Amino acid sequence: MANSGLQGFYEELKRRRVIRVATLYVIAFWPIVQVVDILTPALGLPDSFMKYLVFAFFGAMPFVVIFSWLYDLNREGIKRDDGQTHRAMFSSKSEFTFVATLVVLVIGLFLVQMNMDIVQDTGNSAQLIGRPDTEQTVTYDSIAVLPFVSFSDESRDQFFADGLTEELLNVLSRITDLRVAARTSSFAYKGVSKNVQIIGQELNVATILEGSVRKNDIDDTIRVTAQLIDVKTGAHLWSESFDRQFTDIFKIQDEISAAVADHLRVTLKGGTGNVPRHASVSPEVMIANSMGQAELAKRTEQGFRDAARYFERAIAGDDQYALAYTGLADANTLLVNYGFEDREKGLDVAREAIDKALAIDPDLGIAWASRGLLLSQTMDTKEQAKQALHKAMELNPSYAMAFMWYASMLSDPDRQLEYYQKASELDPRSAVAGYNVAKILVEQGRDSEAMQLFSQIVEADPFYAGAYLLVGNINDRHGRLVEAIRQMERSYDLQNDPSIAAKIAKLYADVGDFSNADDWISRVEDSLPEQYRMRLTWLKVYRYAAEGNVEEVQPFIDEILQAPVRTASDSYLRALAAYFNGDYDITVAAFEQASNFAMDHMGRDGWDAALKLDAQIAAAYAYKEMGQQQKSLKTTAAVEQILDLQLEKGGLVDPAAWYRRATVAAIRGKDQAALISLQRAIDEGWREHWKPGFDPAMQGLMSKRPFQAMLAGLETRMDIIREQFEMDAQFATGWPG
Amino acid sequence: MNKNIIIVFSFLASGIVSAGEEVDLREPASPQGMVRIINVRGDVDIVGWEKDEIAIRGELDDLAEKLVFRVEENFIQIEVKLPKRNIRWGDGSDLEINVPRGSRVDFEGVSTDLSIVDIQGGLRVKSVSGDVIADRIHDQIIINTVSGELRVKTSEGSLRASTVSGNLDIESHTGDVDLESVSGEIELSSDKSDRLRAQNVSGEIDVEMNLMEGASVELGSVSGDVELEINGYVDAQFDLDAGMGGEIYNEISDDESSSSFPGGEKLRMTVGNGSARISIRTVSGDIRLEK
Repeated sequence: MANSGLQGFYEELKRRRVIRVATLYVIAFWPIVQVVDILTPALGLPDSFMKYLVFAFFGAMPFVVIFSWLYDLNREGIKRDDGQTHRAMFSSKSEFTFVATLVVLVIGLFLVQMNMDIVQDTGNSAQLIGRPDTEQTVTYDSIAVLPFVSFSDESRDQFFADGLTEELLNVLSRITDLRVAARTSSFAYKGVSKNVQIIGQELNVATILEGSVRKNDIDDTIRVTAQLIDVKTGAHLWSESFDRQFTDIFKIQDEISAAVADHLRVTLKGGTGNVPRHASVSPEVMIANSMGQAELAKRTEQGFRDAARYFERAIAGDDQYALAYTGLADANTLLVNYGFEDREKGLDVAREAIDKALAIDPDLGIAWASRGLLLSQTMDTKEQAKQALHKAMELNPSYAMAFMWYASMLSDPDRQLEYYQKASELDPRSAVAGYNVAKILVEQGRDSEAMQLFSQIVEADPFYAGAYLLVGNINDRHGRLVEAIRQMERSYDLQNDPSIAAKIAKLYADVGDFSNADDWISRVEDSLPEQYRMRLTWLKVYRYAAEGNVEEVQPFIDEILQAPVRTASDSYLRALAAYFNGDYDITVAAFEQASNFAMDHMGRDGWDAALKLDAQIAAAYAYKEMGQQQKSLKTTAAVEQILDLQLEKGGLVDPAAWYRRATVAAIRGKDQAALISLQRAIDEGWREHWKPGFDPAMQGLMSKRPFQAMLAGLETRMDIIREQFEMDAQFATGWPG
Repeated sequence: MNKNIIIVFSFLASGIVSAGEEVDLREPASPQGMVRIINVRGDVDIVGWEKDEIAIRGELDDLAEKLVFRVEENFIQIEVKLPKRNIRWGDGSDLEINVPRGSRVDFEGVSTDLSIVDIQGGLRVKSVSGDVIADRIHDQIIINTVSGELRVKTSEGSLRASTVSGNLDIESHTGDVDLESVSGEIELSSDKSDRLRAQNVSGEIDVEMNLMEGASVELGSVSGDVELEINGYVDAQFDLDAGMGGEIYNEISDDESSSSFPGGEKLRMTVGNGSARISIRTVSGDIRLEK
């Protein structure tokens, strides 16, 4: 009986075409799903669109079934199926039961869905995935925020995603006791399809925050998803999706940073509710700021100038956005620091911008770091610069640049290394952070560690100019001029720094390739800021002296002697010009006047320190020639003390230090000691073979046979270097450019 | 064939390529032409072959913007172009390149590991941190690296190689040699050489050679030790100076070193007729002569 009932029901379903309609309904839905799947990202529709579509499909199915049961669709149109012919098989009561069951099913499904939505809406659709049972006791002390992925090819949307990442970095880095991997390192993984755990290990962090941004231009909404991952286990500590209006992005950032702090269980002063909040600014401002940061990171003149323009645009959009002011300040200070901008002009803009940033947010660590960088540009504010950088490090212990700039102001190499290493630890993928550590390691004689770091730098960023400058300097100091020139040329090609061009010009002059020397001098001439013109003149003195061309040297010596003296460097140059000219009273006067001026500096090449030392030696000789023996002795003693420190520290020693020691010994009349030091200079790679001929202090040794033999040996070495150049040139013959 | 027709191939294969793209290109090439290859990172194997054509197979760098494959009458350029900024992710190229054996090859890279075999027309390599292995290379050989390791085997011609911290290992070279390092080790075995020069700073120098009549040998290091082993008959004048703190160990003759000012040792001696000239100088490193 039951069988015949079921059989009858099945027959009735068939007769009323219910099964056929249901099958057709499913078949028709399938291509719709496929099309929607393709169009969802293209139209900027949220992921949930597909979910609702599927629910709608299943929700509508009972109605379709009921409809096909009750009505018959044929050529005559839609007609109520009264079931008269089959009444015996299927009663109206059964029909009612069937329809009622389907209705109950639909309502049930609807309620289940409602319940799921309510659960998801609680806490902004928060899902705790794989949250470990022991989490309550786990504390994570470090995080890297990977660049949020934009589901759009528009560069503007990408910068928006970058801006969101940067804002999160900025907020999280203000949390005490939480180490946040620096921007450079995080952004090194932009677009990288690499295992998150491996990235975490490379950045040496305990957690990774990553996410995506999907913007819908039609209704101006945005969906941001974020997830926090435990690097050690790979477990998702937290995951969340936010659907908001585009303009509400800052609320999302605040919620993400609060949730991250909560799940990391970091120690917060005042609890997790004390996570720093964002000021509410427009997305346009954030995008402009992000573009500025991207340009600033390039560390090129064009990059600095473009960055300044973007930061100005951000400020025009919101004059209370402190971060944009710090960016503007840094761009201008670095333009001055790299010698690309008029000093006064650049520093004035930077000063005004920092004052504004700190007026808006006095606890903004980044702004204090910018102030430190600015103050470090002038000699008389060095101490204030250190204080500002100290404050920056306290307020934002994750800001690598503060540690790096602070290190650059320290004179103790061990402490310098400590701060540079801290910066590198915070920003492990940063080439400049690695370069600074490598530079100190080389100076400390830890060549193998330095070169290991060098390999990592060039592998991480093959176009980082500083790495090639470092190697160029190592080769230069060991008298490997072919390689020194090659590496410095590579560095210059990447950075166009006039101080590198000047070094290359000097190297070509030493080798005797004056055509190339002139070519590089003209590059210096084209790009050197006006305030450094006297250095350019000195470079020309060097070039013609290397050629042994006394007649050509004289006009440039005269030019320096007649030029106005504005800085200590100018004064030292004047002392040296007078020394080589035999005007010893002017030498002494200029040397003594130098202390009245502030030292300007090109910062990164130790030019000033070497210049001062050479001027001191010149003054010692001048005192002696003027009969002031005591002053001469006192000055040479001071120089020797500095040279002892340089030569005894070990590591990479500038062989010029040995030459200076030779001149000091010669001034004191200790010829044998002078010869030993000169030989040591030659052994260590000193190359200025032409110099003793011009150097008044060395004239007394010129007639001595060992001295002549040493210079002859040096000339032979220079011949080998010339041969090396020729071999290169020979190989290159016939190649197209 | 009209020479100009060959030039039609210029930039034939130049164009935008997608990241990590597979390439398999082949073009006719001059048997003794010049081949310039530029690849920033990855692995490149260059093999000389008998055919008068050039072939490239493998995968380009994940960040490659384009592959320049420029073929002219006597010149071929292969360059994997990368953007100048943000080269911080992805894998480098993995290429195998065949060139006519008589080619002169000029290779430039940064962190590319290079293997180059069987080239008769000369080789120049400018690298930075990549390792270089060169086997059976003839004519002029110029190789510069910074921190990469360099190994040259069974080469012939004038060889100049320099590095800062990478080791230089030259095995069975015939011809003039000029080697420079700063902290890397220099190891050389020379079959025949009229002129041999090796300079180091803190690394050691270890040379084994057959001494030619009238040859010139100049070895020097600042703080590294220098060891010279001469195979066969020794006929040379020696001028050894272990500067300020080094010592001299002579196992070639019975001559003994004397003290030199200001504290090191020196030894001047003639063995045989003194045809060759051997000069070894250190500041604080030891000098050892062996036979």
